[in-house]
Amino acid sequence: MIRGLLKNPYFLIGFLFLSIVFLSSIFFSVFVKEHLPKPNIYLYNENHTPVEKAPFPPSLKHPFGTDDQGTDMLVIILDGAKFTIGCAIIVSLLRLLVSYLLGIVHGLYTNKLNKYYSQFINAFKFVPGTVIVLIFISPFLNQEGQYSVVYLTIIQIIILTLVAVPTLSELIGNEISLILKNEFIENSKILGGGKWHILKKHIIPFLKPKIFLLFFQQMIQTLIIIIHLGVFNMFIGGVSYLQQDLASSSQKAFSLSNEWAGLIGGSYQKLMTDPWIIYTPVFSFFLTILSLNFIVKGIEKTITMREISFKKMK
Amino acid sequence: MFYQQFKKICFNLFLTLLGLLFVSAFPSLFVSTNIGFNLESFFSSLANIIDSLVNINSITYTIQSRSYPLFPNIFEPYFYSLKILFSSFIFSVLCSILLAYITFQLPIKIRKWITRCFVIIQSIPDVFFVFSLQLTIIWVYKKTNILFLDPLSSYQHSIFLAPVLTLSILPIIFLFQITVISFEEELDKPYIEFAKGKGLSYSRILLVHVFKNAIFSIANHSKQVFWFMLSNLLVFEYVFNIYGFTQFFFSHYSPVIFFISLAMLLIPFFLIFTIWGILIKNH
Repeated sequence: MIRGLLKNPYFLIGFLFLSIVFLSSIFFSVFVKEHLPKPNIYLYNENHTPVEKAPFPPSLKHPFGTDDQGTDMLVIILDGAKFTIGCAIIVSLLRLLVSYLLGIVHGLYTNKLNKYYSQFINAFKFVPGTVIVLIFISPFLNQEGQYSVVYLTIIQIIILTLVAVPTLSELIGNEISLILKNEFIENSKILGGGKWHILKKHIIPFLKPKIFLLFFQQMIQTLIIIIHLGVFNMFIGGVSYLQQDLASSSQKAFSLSNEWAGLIGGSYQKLMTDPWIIYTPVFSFFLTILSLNFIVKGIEKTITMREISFKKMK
Repeated sequence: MFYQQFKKICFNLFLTLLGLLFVSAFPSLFVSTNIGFNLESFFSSLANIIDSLVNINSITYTIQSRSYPLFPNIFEPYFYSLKILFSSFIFSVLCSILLAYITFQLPIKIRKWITRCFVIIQSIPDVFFVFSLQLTIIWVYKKTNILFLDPLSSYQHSIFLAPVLTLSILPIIFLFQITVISFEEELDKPYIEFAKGKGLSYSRILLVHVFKNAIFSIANHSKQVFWFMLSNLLVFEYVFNIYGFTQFFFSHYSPVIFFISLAMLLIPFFLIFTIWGILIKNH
């Protein structure tokens, strides 16, 4: 399957884009960040008098504009990319790992209880994930300073994982049940294959492509929830409030990492005056989700091509 | 037989609400001074919720240290949000069918391009549409002094059109794709060729025959559409400043209110989709 994937243009474009962004973000933060010049809040003219104050709109020097402190938006996006994409990767991996284990139990062992389980988890099917995640996360984020950044991030990742596990494990369990209905499973049982053997030799090869597909679909879902959380100032790694400036008493929320959703939520008031501060992270999310959709499309096409070639072989 | 099905639906509803109860009490697992699950607080929270449910009329919520009774007051935001959801759904269905119909009158090349564009638009995060609509409204207002839609809700004036429009955009794209796929599948079938051979016009074939299957496909995917709309409703109510249902239970959070609000959302959709499932089976 991997060879088929590598030939598929959709998969290649999406996967390359995603890897390049993620890896350059890490490379940037480790090696390049310290060597960057300090940002200018004021733009001076020939007489050394300040002419303009940050945030600066998009221009040739700063293609996506700058933020409040004069830091180029592209730099900020690159810095935060590893947090956002990394968080989505970790959450999807965890979701699949836990749901895979539970799904095996669901598909192989607990056949009679499955219909009750299905109704029991209806809450997760009818109520949108964002709502559940928000309610579970807000008690932690409303007590500022009580939890360390690492602890908060771990809790957020756990909650984001648990929200999807009930439905995902049922999905995997149902797939396993479907695979078990094939005749060759019956043959295997007659020849003396135990449950573990059937699992390893027959079920897992069928599941692998589907799980691969699910991984990237879960990444998209996680990113969407992270965007929604960002609008509500529930950032990954916690919120910190800063006073806007000495004159006003308004507080501006910002996230301690430059995680993309944090950029959206923290700057919502800027929408009318400096829209590029919000549109740049939104655009980055768009490109990331688009590349993930390409990857998903590539995988789906490769799977159907494989099935067609199997049928031809018959 | 009817009685059997009715019993089954009631039992499933009971199980669903039981699951919801556990989810509502779940946050209290983490109320602890040390790391680990606080089972005692979880069970006491469960007991509290059940207790409050028994005295359902006396549940109150507080705004700035004044308490108000939950029960008649919850209905206004509830029906407001439901109004927006249903209008948006109906609008999306109508628009997507109309768009699909128009697209099928165009040559195939243009059709392929339109489908590709829509696939790309689907990746745009929904918040983008909200922000853009608000910015556009204000930009138009600055240039022409006409406020063609209200960008925000206020205490006296609840907006309706702007949220319905933005909530419908991504569902329209999704439903459009579903409709196009179902149109294409139907048009491949032999009875369509027969109808063409008989001399029926293309429009008439589209409208009368293919349409039925499109509606069927849409109804099957409507669960996904509703789920998607509900999750966006939360964010949209916040950004448009609408005092709607999701804003209500999010700002006045307590485990009981969480349970009741989600039950009020869950029960109608659960019933609608279960009954729809039964109708399909019997068809």
